[in-house]
Amino acid sequence: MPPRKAPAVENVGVDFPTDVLADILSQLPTSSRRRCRLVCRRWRDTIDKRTPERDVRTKMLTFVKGLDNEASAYVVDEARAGTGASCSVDVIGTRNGLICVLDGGTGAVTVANPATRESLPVPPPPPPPRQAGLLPCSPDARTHEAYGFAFHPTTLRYAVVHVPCYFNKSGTFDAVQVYTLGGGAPRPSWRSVPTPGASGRFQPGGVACVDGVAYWITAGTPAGVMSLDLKDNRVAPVKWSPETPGRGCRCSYRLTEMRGRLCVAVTVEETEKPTTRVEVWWMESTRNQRWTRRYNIMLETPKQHVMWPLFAHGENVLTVAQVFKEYNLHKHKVSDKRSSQCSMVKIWKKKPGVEIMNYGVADHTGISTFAYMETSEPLEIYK
Amino acid sequence: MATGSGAAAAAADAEEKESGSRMITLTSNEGKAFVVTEASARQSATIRSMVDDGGCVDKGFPLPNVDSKTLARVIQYCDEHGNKEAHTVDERAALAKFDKDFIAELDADKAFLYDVTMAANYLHIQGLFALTTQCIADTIKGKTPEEIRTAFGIEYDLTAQDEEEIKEEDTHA
Repeated sequence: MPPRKAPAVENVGVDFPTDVLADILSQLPTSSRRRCRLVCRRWRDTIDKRTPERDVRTKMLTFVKGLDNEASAYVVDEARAGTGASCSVDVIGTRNGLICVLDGGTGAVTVANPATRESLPVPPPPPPPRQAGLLPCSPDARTHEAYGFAFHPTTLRYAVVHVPCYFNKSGTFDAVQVYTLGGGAPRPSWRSVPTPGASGRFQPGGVACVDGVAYWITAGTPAGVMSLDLKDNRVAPVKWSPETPGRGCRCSYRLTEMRGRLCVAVTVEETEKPTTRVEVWWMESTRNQRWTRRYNIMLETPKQHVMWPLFAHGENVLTVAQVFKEYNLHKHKVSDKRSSQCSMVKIWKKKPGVEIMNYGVADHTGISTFAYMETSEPLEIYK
Repeated sequence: MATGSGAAAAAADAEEKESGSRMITLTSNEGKAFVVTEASARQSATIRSMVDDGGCVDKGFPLPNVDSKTLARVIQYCDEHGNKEAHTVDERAALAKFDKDFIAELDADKAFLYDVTMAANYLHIQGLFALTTQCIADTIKGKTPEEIRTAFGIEYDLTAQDEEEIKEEDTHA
């Protein structure tokens, strides 16, 4: 490493007592604290033993839209639950313990910290010029899937990303919209980042944000993945070559994130049989864009579905199953992951998994799961 | 009661008038005495509990872990927070401005910032400790592990295996 041009006074050897070090590290956002485990043994041990979230792994947040369309959020494994008052919100994503929600009715986006009860409003994105007047804005149940919530690890900025499209129209677009929180501008606003022509066709499957890069799936055969680096606004295709589905199969793709890596979930439904196979591939390294298959989930019952976007938590894969008029959230322990790179799970009627919670919802899409960590990070500084 | 020191005599006088405005002597590890109001000294939970226990108010408090330069700066904070009212919006804004300038000045001299942090920890001055640790956390926030090691003079002692395990354990989803 070349010597840094820091003034001598900047680099002062200091040996904080563990109490003081623990206090300092507790004040970092979770993503920074995670990186600090790589500083030295003492910092790693202090973070593991003395700071709030390390001892318990990332928690699971379930977001439920009930029969009355009332939205609620639950932190699983905890006695308390929070209830949202707005009747039409959907969760765009979670990041470092902050939750980003979309009000489907008004298009308003809100970033909130449930632990401190702080919230920060983000105005709805302006209609993209090409579609203005041509396509009426018609939000539907999946509008939130065209949004992503990102945190850039070096600029330390949060951003909301919107891919301007509607799922009920096969419209194209030539720019994505980005709103950076506390970007230094006196009046933060949405800005457009042009995307090259080929990337302008969006396919449902969500926007995933990993390490400050937003990804979305583009339509075509086979489907492609585009990336937008939120630091330098660079738009580039991601190297990915999915298998073409065999005959008699229906294939769909979805983006998500697992352990800080981009994942593509490929769902293959056999049209003849009630069998669904979900393969989750993750990008081993962003530099050489190498993909590895990490999960292979076999569902042999049409009444059970894999949860999204958090499909796995700890050693378990998460599914939702219809049981009479209710929907149950289940977990399934994966086969020993040390033995092979890929975790296998087989789910059928007689082995529906361990029930975690049940919910009264209209259908399984009314429940979604997210990663969550309690944080005391103030939102005030992003205003 | 008289210790021969003018400061202590002043403290005794003040105590006679009104206990709320009595003076307290804090002595640095270099033997330098600082006379402060009780309200200022009570910013420190350590001193507050000793005063409330009816301890050695007259003799003053020797602080073997704090040098004169650091103590002077700590007292500057305590005076501002202990002696001034912060009830109105304006008063609170003035105090917030003081904190902002105070920490900006310390941030420019890291070694001094760390000394003040340790003193705030030792004396249990909650507000000051929160202010300095937040400042240090902000410095750490944007740095890579390598930059953090350089900034704090930390020796790298993780093995390649440790590092691999840390990355694998990382279940941040």
